[in-house]
Amino acid sequence: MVVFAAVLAMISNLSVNEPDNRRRRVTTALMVLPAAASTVVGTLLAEHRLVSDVLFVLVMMTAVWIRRYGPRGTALGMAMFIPYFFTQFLQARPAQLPALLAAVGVGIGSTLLLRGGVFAEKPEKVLDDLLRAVRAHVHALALAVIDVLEAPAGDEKAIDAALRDLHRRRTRLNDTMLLVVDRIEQLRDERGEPDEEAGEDDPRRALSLAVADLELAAERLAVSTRRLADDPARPGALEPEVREALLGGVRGIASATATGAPEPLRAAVLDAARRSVEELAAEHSGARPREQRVAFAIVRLADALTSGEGGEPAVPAPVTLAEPPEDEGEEDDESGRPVDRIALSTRQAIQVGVATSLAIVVGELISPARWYWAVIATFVVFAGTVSRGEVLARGWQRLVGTVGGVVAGMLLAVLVGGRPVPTLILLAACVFLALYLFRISVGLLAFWITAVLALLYGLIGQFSVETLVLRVIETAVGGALGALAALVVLPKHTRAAFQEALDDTVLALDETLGATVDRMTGRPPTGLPVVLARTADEKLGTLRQRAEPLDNPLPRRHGRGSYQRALRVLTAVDHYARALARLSDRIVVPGWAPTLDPAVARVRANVAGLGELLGPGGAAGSQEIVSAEELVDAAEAWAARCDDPGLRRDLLSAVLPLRRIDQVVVGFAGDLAGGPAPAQEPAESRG
Amino acid sequence: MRGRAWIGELRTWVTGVDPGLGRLRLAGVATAAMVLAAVAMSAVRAAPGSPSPWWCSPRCWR
Repeated sequence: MVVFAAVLAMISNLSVNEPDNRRRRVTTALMVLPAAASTVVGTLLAEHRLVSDVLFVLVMMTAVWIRRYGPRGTALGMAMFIPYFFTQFLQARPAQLPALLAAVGVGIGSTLLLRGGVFAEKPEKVLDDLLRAVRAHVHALALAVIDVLEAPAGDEKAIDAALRDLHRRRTRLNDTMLLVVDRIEQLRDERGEPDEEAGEDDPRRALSLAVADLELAAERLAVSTRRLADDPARPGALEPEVREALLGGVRGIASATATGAPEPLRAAVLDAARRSVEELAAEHSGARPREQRVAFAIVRLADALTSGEGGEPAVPAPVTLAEPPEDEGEEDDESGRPVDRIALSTRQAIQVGVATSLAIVVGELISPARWYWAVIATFVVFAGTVSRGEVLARGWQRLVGTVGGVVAGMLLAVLVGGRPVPTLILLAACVFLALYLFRISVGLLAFWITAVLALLYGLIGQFSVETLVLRVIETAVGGALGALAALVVLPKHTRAAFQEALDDTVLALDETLGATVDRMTGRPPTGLPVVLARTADEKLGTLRQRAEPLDNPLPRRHGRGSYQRALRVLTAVDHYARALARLSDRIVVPGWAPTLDPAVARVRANVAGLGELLGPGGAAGSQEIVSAEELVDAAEAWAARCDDPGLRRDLLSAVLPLRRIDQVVVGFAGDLAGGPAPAQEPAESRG
Repeated sequence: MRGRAWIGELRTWVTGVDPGLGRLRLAGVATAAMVLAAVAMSAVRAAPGSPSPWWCSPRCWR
């Protein structure tokens, strides 16, 4: 009963992922209802094994199916599953119902009291913490740039390793920025402030833009460093004084972004960073364009960091949005295959039903006393997955984690020798680590939970190596049955899942570019470009996740294509689309439309064409990709004739990201088609 | 000085690896809630008039 209450407290913490405190409290409180219901039903049926097993499978299927209702559905599903499992595991009797229901109240009540009351999140504090995390990621990115610049000339391996590290750090910065923007939007939602009405006096809008500027500046440093590394001369061959100047600048950025650096020191080192590269940035000879780009990026990042510390970023005026078309959202995007017409939650519910039924039977055959380990392993491998590749990966991680946990648990159990006080301290530590690490990997969760079990068995004098080995076997069987169901029952191919996310990303990028050009030319956009750009960024995050199990060359493709390279190209497009969206905050020039519209239309068509080219039909089903260079040149020529020097600079800076998008897309499309490599290989597509 | 720099790097790494310290907070609160629930439930079970403490039997720890 004590364990039951404690596990319910844990589950009601972990499964409630609502964004704000109020919704979190409501969801936690609502968990009492399904938890109590399944406790009552499970207890009343515990004596009737066959009926209770059938119902157990139905409960698990419902718990998976209900995930379609978002975070609240997921939490309520877990509240249904765990108590039912415990009633079967404990073989509860009707006489124990009052105590079991008390445990439900105590477990969930503890969470409500602590998470919803005593330690409730303070949104402003969380935002401060996230902003600190952004600086920490910029710091890590600066350190990675230092590694690239310091890599010895000719050491391809070291430079490539440093560039990979730089790419990883850029991705992490991007993930954290999404959290910051979510948090800012959440704060705005709580106050009922719609984004499009936010104007110059809205500090959160200003903060949101300052953070977007900081991210773009940091990405620019990463991109320019990568381009420098692409130089045949390699950074190791840089002239010593140029290298020292760049290193001085990047080290200044790193010092200013270190956590705990005092404020006066920050301003001083950022100034020093600018001074370190000012000579290089002021050069007009054009002899070192790549080095100069890194210098510009350092200055811009230093400025963005200063702006983030209290400066004033450019805040746009409120914008009027276009009316959405009436048939929006009614598009049928389902593909022809029957499996794709079934909702993810329904498909997974069926898979879970089949897999857990098998797990009950096989688990029981292996060990009538501990069959539930196989069932739990089967149930857990489906959580948060979309494709069979992800299910396989989770099953494998859980098995490896369990094996490691058995070894660690045996060592810990031997170490404490069943003494209660050290065992309880270690138990708390292992539980904490399991909860801390579970979002990183299901394997780490399995590792620490297995260690907890070993300690618990030691505490009650039931520790045995055989029991832990049995846990490994049951986990392996459960994971294998889960993987089997994912492979055989209504399988969702990993590539199909990737394709879906790819289509979403391409569509979101297209919408961003469309809204951006509308706003720049004075037409009402369908949405705020920066908000649409953020959505595209989120879609790209999903695409990145779906690409993880795929690391093989693209099927039926010639040339140097790979999923990872496709990702890098789309990351570059996303970066430049965000830069363009941000610029649209301060550029409104209706007269630019005749030359800008055709250029953007061609670029959008090329992005859509790339999406089709990467799709199952390949080159056969895709529209032709033709460089928009001449159209972009025309838009640039119009911008260059602008009389206002400030506006001219802004217009020209808007042409640059457009040109880059076209270059990366056309270059990659050429490679996929097996054509000659483009004359100017884009920085982001460097394989 | 080197020690302070090392601590600074560690702080920066921790800040970056757990953005907003969300995981740390959630794990801490969840552990505290589990302990609170266990203590509260033990108190309920130990209260006079409660049924026999069958929950501490090894059968329940299988």
